[in-house]
Amino acid sequence: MELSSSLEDYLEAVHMLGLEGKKVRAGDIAAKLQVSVPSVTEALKRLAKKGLVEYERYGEITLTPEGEKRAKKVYKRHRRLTDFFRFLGVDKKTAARDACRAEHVLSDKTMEKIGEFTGEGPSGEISLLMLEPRQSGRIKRLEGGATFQEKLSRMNIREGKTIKKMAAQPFSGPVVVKVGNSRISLGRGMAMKIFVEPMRTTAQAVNKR
Amino acid sequence: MKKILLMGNPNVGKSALFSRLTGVDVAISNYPGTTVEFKKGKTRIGRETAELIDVPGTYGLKATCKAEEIASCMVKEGDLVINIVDATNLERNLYLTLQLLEENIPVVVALNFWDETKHQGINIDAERLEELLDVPVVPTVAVTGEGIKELVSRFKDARGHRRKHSDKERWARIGGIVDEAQNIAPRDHKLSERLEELTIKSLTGIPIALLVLALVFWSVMFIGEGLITYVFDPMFGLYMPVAEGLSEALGPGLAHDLLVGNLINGQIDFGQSMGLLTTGLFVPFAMVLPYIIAFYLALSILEDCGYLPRLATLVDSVMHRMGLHGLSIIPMMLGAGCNVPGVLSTRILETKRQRFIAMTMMSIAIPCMAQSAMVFALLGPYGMQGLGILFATLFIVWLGLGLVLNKVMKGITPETFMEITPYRVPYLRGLAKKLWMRIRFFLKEAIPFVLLGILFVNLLYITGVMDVVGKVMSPVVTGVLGLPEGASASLMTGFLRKDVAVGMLLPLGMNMKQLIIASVMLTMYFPCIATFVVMFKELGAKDLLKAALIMVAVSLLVGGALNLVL
Repeated sequence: MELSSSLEDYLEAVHMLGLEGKKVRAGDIAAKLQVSVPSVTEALKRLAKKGLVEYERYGEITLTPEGEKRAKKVYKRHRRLTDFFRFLGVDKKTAARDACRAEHVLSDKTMEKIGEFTGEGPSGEISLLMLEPRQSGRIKRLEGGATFQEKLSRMNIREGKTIKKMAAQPFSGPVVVKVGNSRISLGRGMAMKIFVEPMRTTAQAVNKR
Repeated sequence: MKKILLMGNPNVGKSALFSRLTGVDVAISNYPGTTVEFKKGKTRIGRETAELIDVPGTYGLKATCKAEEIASCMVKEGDLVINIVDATNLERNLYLTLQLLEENIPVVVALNFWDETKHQGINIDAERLEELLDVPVVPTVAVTGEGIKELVSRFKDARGHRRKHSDKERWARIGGIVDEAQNIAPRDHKLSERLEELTIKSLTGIPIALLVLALVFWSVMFIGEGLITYVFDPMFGLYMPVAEGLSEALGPGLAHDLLVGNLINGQIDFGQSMGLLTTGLFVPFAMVLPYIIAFYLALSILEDCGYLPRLATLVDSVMHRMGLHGLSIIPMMLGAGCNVPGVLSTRILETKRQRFIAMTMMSIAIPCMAQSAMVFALLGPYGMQGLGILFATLFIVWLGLGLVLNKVMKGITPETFMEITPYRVPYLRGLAKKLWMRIRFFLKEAIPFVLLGILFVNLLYITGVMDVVGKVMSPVVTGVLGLPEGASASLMTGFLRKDVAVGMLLPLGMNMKQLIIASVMLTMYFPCIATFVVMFKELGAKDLLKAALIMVAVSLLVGGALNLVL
């Protein structure tokens, strides 16, 4: 079942508002996408017909399991593309806007390659480069040759250790991390070869609540 | 004689302990890689004398870099290893400890920075650690000397093990040891964390870095000028009657010319007379030494508090465009004091290519403090404009040269991988000792060459060689650079000592433009003999020749261009 990009946007919006923990109503969606309430109602009707959303009492809108699956996929593409554009040095706002458009048109193949590049492995692990400043992660694996791995593990950067990203210098400068009680400055190429399972920052945890 | 090796991770206090055990003063700073060469000294253990070797820091023994390779070879020759462990970073440091134990050489462990563990909420059971490692473990504070006696008394109990382990087994064992012997009470260090963040994030870090550098420059000027006005000038005021008495007693003649020099308007002028006992003393003591003191005071504070690795991280991406690591900011800053230690410290850079680029950039565009001090005196009367043009030119050349060398030289720059050492409050006695070491180094290195330089100048004038040289060099000096013929003498003296050479510009009555060009030339055209010798040792004849050709070409190009533009 093919969906138009605007319908995909509606699905994604419902999903994102749901992530914020709110009850989703047509008005919220209209505000988020900056469209009129009647257009939202119109779109929701079509999505409901395809069995992707359900209206509940008091105008609350939820996703069906199938709808949730589709929405998650679009949202994942959105995040991955935003990360990718940010990595290229695009500012946050432009990156998010461009991701909104590109998420509907790029092939699965391309998305997969971009995912590999940004280090988003199959199990949700991302490269150190993709961590937010101040965010911590648990090291899942190191890529690269044996000498490289040994060089890192000497400094206690090894599987299972918690690593905190402190800052990333602009213009492809080094990434500063904290492991145990030591701070280390390492090049971007190295950071791209360290894969971590991100831990939620306090800010994100608060948002989630 | 027994050989004792001091080994440990970088920046754990090996040199401080070395200094404590041997009484030999060595430089101690708060960044990894302060020690780039082996230092040897003698120490007494009971009735025996042993040789103590300060091995450059290493994170492990399997050779992943040159330093580790050397360290691995050293272990086989030693009779005892003192393994210094950073107690605030036990887990990582124990990796090397286990590797050393496997070498089957007697080991004692010094748990250094013991005083800091309490502040950080780290609680280590040293006795339990000793049981678990099965070698003596002694808490120490190397800079103050705490625990050193106890450490020495335990040398006899040192032991090694034979069994080899794999990497995985080692980490597993370390995990077990740390769990049993260490207890960390989580403690929020809001203030230091905040400072850490502010200085390492580019948004706030770069303004702070500029502020720090401006503060360093300002305090060097302020302290330097203050020392001259209130200390050294009055001292030479007292010396003046002595010099005058000598001048009268000698009467005119060769001895007078050499010792007192020319009288200017019938008077001795300490800055310009060019006698061994007048200018020869005045330049190093009253014009240069004050700035040397001021500069090394500022630099030593920066080194010891631990700010430099942060600065290195902030400038890393810029430095990489010049084929260097951010860390090369440290040799550059040392070079601004004196190019000799600057050149030596390029050893912290891992490839030959980086070291060549760094040395060439430094010897061309970074004037040493002795030269800068003389330039302050020379261009000072013209206000900030003259100095501004001079230093801006040097900075542009420094930057441009780096960019070009990186483009034309084959090879790549490895990625940065550097530990950022923690902020520490400088230990005042250590700081004072280091400052004194550096001043002593200046006096020992500079005074003989200053005197030799002045003797050389006098001989050239007396024998008439200078006139000939002036004539021969005049197409370049006058034609291309627009300087008076007399400047040739200064350029020749620059091979020996740049401060004397700058001083020789004083009597020539040049205008600001000429003074700037002459100062730029003196900085760039060739290193002084002391720097030349260390560059030869570090680079070899072929690369030094390359560097020298670049120097001559660039300096003529820039000097000529300034003559046209200004």
